[in-house]
Amino acid sequence: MIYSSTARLGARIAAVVIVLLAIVDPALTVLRYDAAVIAVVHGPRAADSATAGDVRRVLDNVVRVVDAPFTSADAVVYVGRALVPPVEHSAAPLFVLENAPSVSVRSFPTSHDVFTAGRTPVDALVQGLPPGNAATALLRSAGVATDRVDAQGTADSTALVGLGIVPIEPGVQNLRIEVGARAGEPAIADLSTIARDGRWKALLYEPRPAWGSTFVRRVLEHDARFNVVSRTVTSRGISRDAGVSPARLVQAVALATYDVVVMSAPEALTSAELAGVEQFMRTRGGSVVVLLEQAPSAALDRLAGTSGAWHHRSLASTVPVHVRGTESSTVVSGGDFVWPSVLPPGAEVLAAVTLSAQKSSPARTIPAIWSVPVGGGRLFVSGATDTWKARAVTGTRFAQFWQGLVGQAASSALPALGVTLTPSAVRPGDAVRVRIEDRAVILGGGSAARSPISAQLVTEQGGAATALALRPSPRRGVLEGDFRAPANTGNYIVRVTGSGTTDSAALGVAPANRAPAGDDAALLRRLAASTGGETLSEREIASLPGRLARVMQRKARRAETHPMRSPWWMVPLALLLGFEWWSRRRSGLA
Amino acid sequence: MPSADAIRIAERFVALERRARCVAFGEGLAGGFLLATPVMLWGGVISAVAACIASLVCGAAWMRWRTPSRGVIAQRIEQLDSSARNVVVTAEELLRTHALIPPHAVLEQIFASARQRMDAIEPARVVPAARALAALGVVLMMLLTSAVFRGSAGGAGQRLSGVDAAVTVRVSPPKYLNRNDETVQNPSRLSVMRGSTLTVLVSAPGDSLELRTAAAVLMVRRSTSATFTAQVVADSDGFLSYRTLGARASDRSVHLIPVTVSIDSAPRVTIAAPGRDVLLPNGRQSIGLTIRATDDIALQTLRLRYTRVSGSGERFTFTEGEVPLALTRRNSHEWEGRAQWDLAPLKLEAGDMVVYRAVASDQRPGALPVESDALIAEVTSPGGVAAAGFALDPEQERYALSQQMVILKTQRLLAAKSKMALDSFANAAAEIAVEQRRVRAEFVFMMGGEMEDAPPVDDASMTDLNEEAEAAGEDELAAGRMVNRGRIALLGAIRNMSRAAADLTAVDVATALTHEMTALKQLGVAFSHSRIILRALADHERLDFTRRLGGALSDAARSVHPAATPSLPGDARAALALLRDVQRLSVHVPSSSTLLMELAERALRLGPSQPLLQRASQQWTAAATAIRSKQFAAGQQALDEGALAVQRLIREATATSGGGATSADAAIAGSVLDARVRVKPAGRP
Repeated sequence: MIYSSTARLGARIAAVVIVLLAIVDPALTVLRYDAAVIAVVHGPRAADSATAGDVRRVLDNVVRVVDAPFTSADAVVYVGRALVPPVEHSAAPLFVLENAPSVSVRSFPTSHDVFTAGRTPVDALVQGLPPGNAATALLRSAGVATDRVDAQGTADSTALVGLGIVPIEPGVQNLRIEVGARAGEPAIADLSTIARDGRWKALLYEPRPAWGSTFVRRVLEHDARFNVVSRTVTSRGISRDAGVSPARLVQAVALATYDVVVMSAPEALTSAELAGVEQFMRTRGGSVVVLLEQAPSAALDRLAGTSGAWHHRSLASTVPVHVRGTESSTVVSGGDFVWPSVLPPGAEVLAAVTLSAQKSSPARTIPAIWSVPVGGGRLFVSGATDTWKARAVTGTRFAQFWQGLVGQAASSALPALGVTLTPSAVRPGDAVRVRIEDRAVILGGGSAARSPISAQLVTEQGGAATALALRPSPRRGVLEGDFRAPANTGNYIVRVTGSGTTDSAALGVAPANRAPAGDDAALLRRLAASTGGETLSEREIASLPGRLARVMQRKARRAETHPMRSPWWMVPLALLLGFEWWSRRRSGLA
Repeated sequence: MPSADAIRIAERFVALERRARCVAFGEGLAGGFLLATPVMLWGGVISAVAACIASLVCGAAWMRWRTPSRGVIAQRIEQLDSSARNVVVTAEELLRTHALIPPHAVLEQIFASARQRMDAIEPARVVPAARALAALGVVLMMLLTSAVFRGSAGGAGQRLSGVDAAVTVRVSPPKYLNRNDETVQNPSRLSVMRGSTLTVLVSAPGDSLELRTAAAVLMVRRSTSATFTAQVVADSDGFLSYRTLGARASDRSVHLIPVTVSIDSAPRVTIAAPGRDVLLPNGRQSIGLTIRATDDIALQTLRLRYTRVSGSGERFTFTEGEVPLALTRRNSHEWEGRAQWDLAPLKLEAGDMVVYRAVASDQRPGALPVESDALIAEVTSPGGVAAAGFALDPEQERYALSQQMVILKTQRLLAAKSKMALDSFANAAAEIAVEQRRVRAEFVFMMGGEMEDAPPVDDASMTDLNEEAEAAGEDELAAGRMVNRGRIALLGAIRNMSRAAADLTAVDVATALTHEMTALKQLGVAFSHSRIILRALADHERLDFTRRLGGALSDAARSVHPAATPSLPGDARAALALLRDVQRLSVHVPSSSTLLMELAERALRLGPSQPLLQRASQQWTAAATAIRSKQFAAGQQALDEGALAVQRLIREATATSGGGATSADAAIAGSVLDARVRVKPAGRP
């Protein structure tokens, strides 16, 4: 009885104490040790994502894991081999979990001019393809298979894959390249670009009639990618013109509207005309294609930077001429070649021909077609003088050859305003960089009175425009800006206006988009070391918590706490009161 | 301890309960199948299984709900036996509850009476199963009838949609080929000879059949109760596309059969021996001839025809004839003809020639025969020239003929004389003589054709000098009216060439060489810069000033033409339109299969003979089949293959611009490099 009354009293007192404490609500200051926050980031591959899951499982019971880039993280664990922006800009110790390499698409550029009237090459640099191994690269446009080639790994485990696109209709083209190797995960990269119903403006100038340039003019006039204006001077003061052409090549301003100038018989041009052509290349950044029929005069030597010594050889039979980088079937036949003794510095040989040995000379390879920069533009010189004679030979594709070469020259010409987005196919919210190049400032030192350049982001269908902030880049004439991709899936256009002209670039936003990402394992190792982190292999995942603990310091902090605010106090209160009541009942008091 | 009667009664009740449960289950099952019949008939396999399970559940539920209790069964027994007077019900209650148990004797009496009553009644009367059995029977009949119907009519439609569609094509080749008809079941493609008649028999539901080819659209009614029959003639590459009209939606899919038409090619014939022109010393020679002819199907005739040419100048006569051949027919499409052709009956004289060619024909009705290259057999004469207008075999070695070359060849022949056999030496000399005559002929034609001083007699050759005519013209020469030294020198050169040709034919090569060199010297004199050679133009050579650009120089002006505005080739545009529609498809949408069949047909329509479009059509047909079978991965792959084939076609019709991305960085790098280069060291041009 005594014990039960004592117990009852004790319970009652305890309950009262709890209530009183709850009313008083004392505050206590304690020392707390926060759990470290580790950000786990993974690369674009599915294998990266899977391994990141393993990392989370290992770390979940040890630290707080944040499954995304987190600027306040105590450390970052990155799974993958590609350098992604969140890792690049992180200041926390970086731990790189280097998983097995696989095929990846490093870069995936295409030309600024994508026309609906022709095929535009799309080259992809593939990494991680061992030498001798083969992979199939498939290019899709809006999900439809567009091109497919087989790639072979070279000595440095890379492969340059040459694909192409013929746009089905103008507008934003969402391209995807899938590179599948025999083993391992296929590499995927996305790209968005704009296809236009545009044409290159080409001027074909013949100071005297010539067979070669006549046939080249005809094939260009049949190519829907060109607006061809031509002038053939047939006699003194008399010419045959197609379209409205400049009277002479002296007027560089008149030439500025053209992308490419094709001319023959440079020895028949005056110095003033050659100077006009040179100005066209230097200040407009245009391209000039010279079709030689004989060793040129000294004036062209000055333009091309050659030394003045030229060779000429006529062969007994024709040989194939093929421009490097084009389709293997696009060849012409030539038997008469003119080439300089020494190519000028910076010259690039586009087509080389092997001449068989003769009595006076051994077998050698000569540059049949080559190009050299002249200022911001480019000069293309063709020393294959008689390809027109063999244009009907079986196996040659005279029209496609010259259309392709002049097209290459035209696409090399700088646009007045060039805008590029990096990357151009992103996921919602991803970072995008816009880069704008003002040709006039870059090449000619434009004046400050030029109109300002503005950039806006709009949907493909039009609609409300979002202005983008631009800043000057270290490079003169180049502006840059950074923005986040919209949250809504769709196609967008960045429209840039300025200097009396406009240009656009496409931005594709979709959750499944993947930007090109190469193998940056070496760079990641250096980055990890520089931040105080480490590089691990997949086998060392289990040791990750220990490695993290070594570099992280436990942070203690004083925190104020109100212990009586916990709702759990209701439990002991209820128990005590319940015990007290039961005891009184047993005792017959209630 | 329960009595035997009680036990018996309990057993009877258990049996009756069991029966009642079965009957209720049967009723429920029948009801469930009845409700699920539409799903089972028109749905897929999964739907049918689900419907069966639902029916079973329905039966179980009905059984649970509608199974009568023992009390109800007892009441039914009472209703059937009016004399029972509630004894069965009482017995059931006593067995069910154990309260208020009457005395033992009464119990036994009750149970005995109840048992007697229950034994006397058939269980089928208590729990009739007729209704349930009847319902089950009706449902079963309905299912069987629908399945049979679907198998006979709807099933054919399904087969038509899949690989084993019920279509038969009888191919009847053109009669002249003498080939049997061929019948093909469910062809994926057809390869037939041009002119073949295709009889198409389609077994399908529907009121009519729409049969489309590249050229026409036919509406076909049923020929018999089971099939549609139609006939088309295959003249060119194309397709057969058919679908039934009026049938169910699932049977109206389009079916496509590409048709490739092979052409009966013309035969090929060559004269294998001698295989070149021959020069004969006289007309009494014979030539060994071998002729070979081939054809893809079968040859019909092989002949050797000749034309005898005699005469000279403007007095040629032509005589046609045929040489009999000994034919060896290796098989129907490889023949060989041989003959040892004796030319003596033709009575060829010096300067005459015979042009012969082989002629072959195959069995194509109305087709013209094919001729081989024509060869010449010529009886040489001194100074004779092969008449213009006949095709000559090309020389083994092509080189520009000139007097200098003739001299060179003569010198080489003389040098090699000691090493050559006599007849070889003579043949070589004769060949040089032919070349000498050809060079001479060039100058003769340049001078206006026939030399004026050639004698008018038949047997005189043009190389002979008409001394009388020349003597008559001496005073003209003396008067200076013909004192054109260039013309004189040229005439002298021509005469020396004639002499050289005659000496070569006579195998007097050394003398011929001296004449050749004299001719060369005279040519040098004739064509020196101070010489003028004049001759009058013949009528047919007169200039037609209406066809020449002429006028005052001051009228010459710049001509301006509109700039060209080319567009994509039509086939490329049409191919792009195909791809535009492909872009809108998704393999996961069932209706894509129909759209793909239409695209496959459009591809064949666009280019029935184009291999890439044939491939695209084939792949899209496969994709449609895969989508219908819900094999989405295979469907996507086939869709991609078809799209790639069309893209290749577009690529061949368009140009590719080389080069990659353009950037200011590249331009600036080039500019810097160029600036560095332009800072030239002294002395560099």
